[in-house]
Amino acid sequence: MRIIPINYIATIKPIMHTADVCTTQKAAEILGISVTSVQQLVEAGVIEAWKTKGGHRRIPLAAVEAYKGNPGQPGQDQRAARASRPVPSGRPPSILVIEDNPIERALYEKQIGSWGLQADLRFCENGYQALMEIARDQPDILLADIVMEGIDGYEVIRTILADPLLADMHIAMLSSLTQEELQERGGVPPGVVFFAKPVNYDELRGYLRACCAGHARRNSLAA
Amino acid sequence: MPAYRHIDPAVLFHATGHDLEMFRALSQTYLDTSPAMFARVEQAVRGGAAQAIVHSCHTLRGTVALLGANALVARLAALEQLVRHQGVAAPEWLAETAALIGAVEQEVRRSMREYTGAQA
Repeated sequence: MRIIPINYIATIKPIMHTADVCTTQKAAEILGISVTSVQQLVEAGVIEAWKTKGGHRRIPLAAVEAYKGNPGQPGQDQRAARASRPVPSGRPPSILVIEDNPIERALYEKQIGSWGLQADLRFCENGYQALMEIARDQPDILLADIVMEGIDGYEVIRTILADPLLADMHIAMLSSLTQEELQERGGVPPGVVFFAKPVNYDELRGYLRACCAGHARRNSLAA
Repeated sequence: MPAYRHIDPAVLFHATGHDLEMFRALSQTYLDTSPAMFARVEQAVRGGAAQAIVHSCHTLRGTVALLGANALVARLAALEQLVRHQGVAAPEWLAETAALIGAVEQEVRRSMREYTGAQA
């Protein structure tokens, strides 16, 4: 894990909403295939998923729906109608965290840094810095707080989703907003994963491991 | 040793990966940053602008949740909900919240001196 300090960026979330993820069994029902087939698709990286600390798979419903609509395509590419950038071979995935709370930034750095991910980790304190940083060096994975002064996490994510060149980015929202509050803001965008705060680090670790594994897989395919 | 009534030090200690030095450093970060956060809440409540109240309460709530300050979290969340539905803070809300903030601060200082994680 390489943590990159950037001068205008800070140097120093969970419980997945049950509506956003499903079990292997549920995914099998949705897709009309066996549980074993779902497990194989997950292990092959065709459908994005991760495991909880207890070893249970958690599969984003968006990934299941994406596979259902376009079997054979990787799950994260539910936004793949847009163009995607080539993956530079051998480059480790980069994680950008947008978080305005210094205590939470420190906790993310400590926790994510301890998971042994082969990834670069960067931080921004607000949405404006994040947009500047994304323009400078596109991350592979974005973890975005939502409620922030100025440009909030929603605006950052909408900007990303509107840009075809950023189609490959894994995006997760981390917030203590309630479901009602999320709905008032337009809900969780398709293809975006939501983690409720306080963050359950076991869940976040599983998600990031899955994202990093997907990145490594694309790297190997591109090589 | 009396029990903690306003925070649960184990919450932050666990989040740090049981790193006592980091626990104390982040506790100090809380002490350094929370006065300004509460000042924004006070200003917003006195000004009566709903969006400012919700935003400032949300920010402070996210921070005190990391300390396991559940009563304060609930109090801030309740005002957020109230204001979002066109309610207004009761006249005594600010004074009561300030007292609770003070109690939390005292226990944070105490946890920095006494807490070792052995209780976690």
